[in-house]
Amino acid sequence: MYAQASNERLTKWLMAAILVAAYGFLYMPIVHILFASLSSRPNFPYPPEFDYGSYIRLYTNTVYQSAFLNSLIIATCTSILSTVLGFLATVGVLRFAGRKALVYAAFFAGPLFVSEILLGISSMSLYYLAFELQGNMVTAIIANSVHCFSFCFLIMAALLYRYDWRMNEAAVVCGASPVRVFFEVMLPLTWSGILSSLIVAFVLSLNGLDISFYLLGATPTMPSVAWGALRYGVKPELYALSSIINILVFAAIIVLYFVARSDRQLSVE
Amino acid sequence: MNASLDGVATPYIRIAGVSRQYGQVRALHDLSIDIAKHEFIAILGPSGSGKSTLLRLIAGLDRPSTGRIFFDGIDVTDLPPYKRGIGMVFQEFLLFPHRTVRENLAFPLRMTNQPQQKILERLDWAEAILSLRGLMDRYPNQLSGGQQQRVALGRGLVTHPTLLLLDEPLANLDRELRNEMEVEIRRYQKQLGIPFVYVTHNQEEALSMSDRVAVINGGRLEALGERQTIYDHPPTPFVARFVGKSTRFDGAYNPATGQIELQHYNYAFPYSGAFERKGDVRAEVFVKNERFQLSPWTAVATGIACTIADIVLRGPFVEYILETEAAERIIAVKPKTSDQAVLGTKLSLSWDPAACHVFPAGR
Repeated sequence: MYAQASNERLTKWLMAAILVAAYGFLYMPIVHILFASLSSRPNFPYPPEFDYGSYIRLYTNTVYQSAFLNSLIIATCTSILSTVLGFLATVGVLRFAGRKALVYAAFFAGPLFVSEILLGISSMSLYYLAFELQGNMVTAIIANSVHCFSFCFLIMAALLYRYDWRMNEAAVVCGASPVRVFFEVMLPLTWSGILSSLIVAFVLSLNGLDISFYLLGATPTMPSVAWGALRYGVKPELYALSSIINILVFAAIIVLYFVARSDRQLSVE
Repeated sequence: MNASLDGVATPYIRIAGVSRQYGQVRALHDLSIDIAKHEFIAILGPSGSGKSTLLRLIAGLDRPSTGRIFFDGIDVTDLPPYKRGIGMVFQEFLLFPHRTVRENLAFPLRMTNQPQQKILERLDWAEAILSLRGLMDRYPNQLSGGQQQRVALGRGLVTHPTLLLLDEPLANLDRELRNEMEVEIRRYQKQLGIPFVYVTHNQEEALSMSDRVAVINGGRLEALGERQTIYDHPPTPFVARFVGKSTRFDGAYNPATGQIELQHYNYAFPYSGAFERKGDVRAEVFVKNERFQLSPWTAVATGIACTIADIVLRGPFVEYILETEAAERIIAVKPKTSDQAVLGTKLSLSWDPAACHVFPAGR
């Protein structure tokens, strides 16, 4: 009996160790970058010797600033555009596709499997061929939206799947116009899916290098500046920039967590 | 009463020659019904008969392929649902889960842009008439089925609509609550004086609540009339089978004797109705279960010979499960009496020729 209890304890410890190792594997690079950005000796920051110099240099570096701004614009516009399109596609598939819903859904999710670099190169040459469009912010937003659309579609389709569309009918016979049906009934009942889609598209397009890289040419974005910086030696500013992006992304994930939780509460209550 | 219903000059609601086609499927076929202002009309039909389609057309949730719909003389066929001024109650209630009872009830008032004073007035009215006191600040998932149903009714009635459409509103409630709500709903209709169009597959509901019943089958109007008429004088075999509880017999008309002779039984009864074709013509005979006459079996008895296989007590009524010599089971309903019938007793089953319904079944 005693042996069995100690066996159980051993299993528990072992599982805990594996969990720690797994988290370590996932988060060590991120933590390392954070330490490096905060250290006066970025190349070997252990033990840490705190110094905020890299953040101050980042703050005064205009290239990084305009890259950050560009990335923010691209990410914001992309997340809105792809979420709107993804929402329309979701409504179409869930409401009007009937028995062929799976076929339509598969084609909406398809671009997910096209590699980003291919999408970037082909969007660049296509936009130029068809519209003589030089790479600029607008084409970058459009190409990023193509990529993010499929994610948005899948996220919203998964969450709107349990939405009862007859709620819309109940509202419309109460005298609500289609616009009011959306804002008074549908949005309050599906906002968690829409917000999740916005956040995921934002994070994806904020970090995406390939698509923006081929479509933007000289216009800097954060990933492209970071990539460029690598060629001329890693600077501490780059660590600071990475840390800021990581913190932003984590904030988004925490928001997502609370969204999912409040959504579950609404349906369980 | 009948005269006033039949002689409506300009009906309040007019459904004129409405059809609805989905691809190759005809859900509704050239259907016309006029509804008077103070009328409770039940649309009765089996599932898939097109009765819900008809309701959706009246609501504007669907558009007819042909035909027009008029509310109080105005053609509303092309109006969207939110401009029709109707109320509707759904089988699944469909209360807004993110809103309290009060907000659910206020919703149609806000959507029709009523002033705040009016909204408060109508909320008080709904709270009182539907006995929702103490429930106004709860969420729908904190209510029982019956309470949700009352809120759904309130949401349909609160704007004082042109008419109220009810789509099987009691189907999700248990039996006891259903009987209670039947009385309640009928009371609201009489108080408000607006037409209620009540779709159901349950003939008991249709008969207990409505003034008139429209029976729909296969997208066509089988019968339309006062509930008593529909029950006592079904115009088609379908209505005879669907409304009330009946037993069907196969028979044939014998012009020589002027009698209908049943196929499997040595029983015949006089028939004075007309058969289109001369000669020996097959007939379908329907007898309502409560119209059977039972008498002790004697050597000279002329009825169908049968024995009591079982007796089912239904409160004030007794169902006698009778087994005939052709090994068929017939249910006869009788008021409960003090004397006890004994299982296995041989009886003679017959009926008043005027109380049964005979339909020619072709040659």
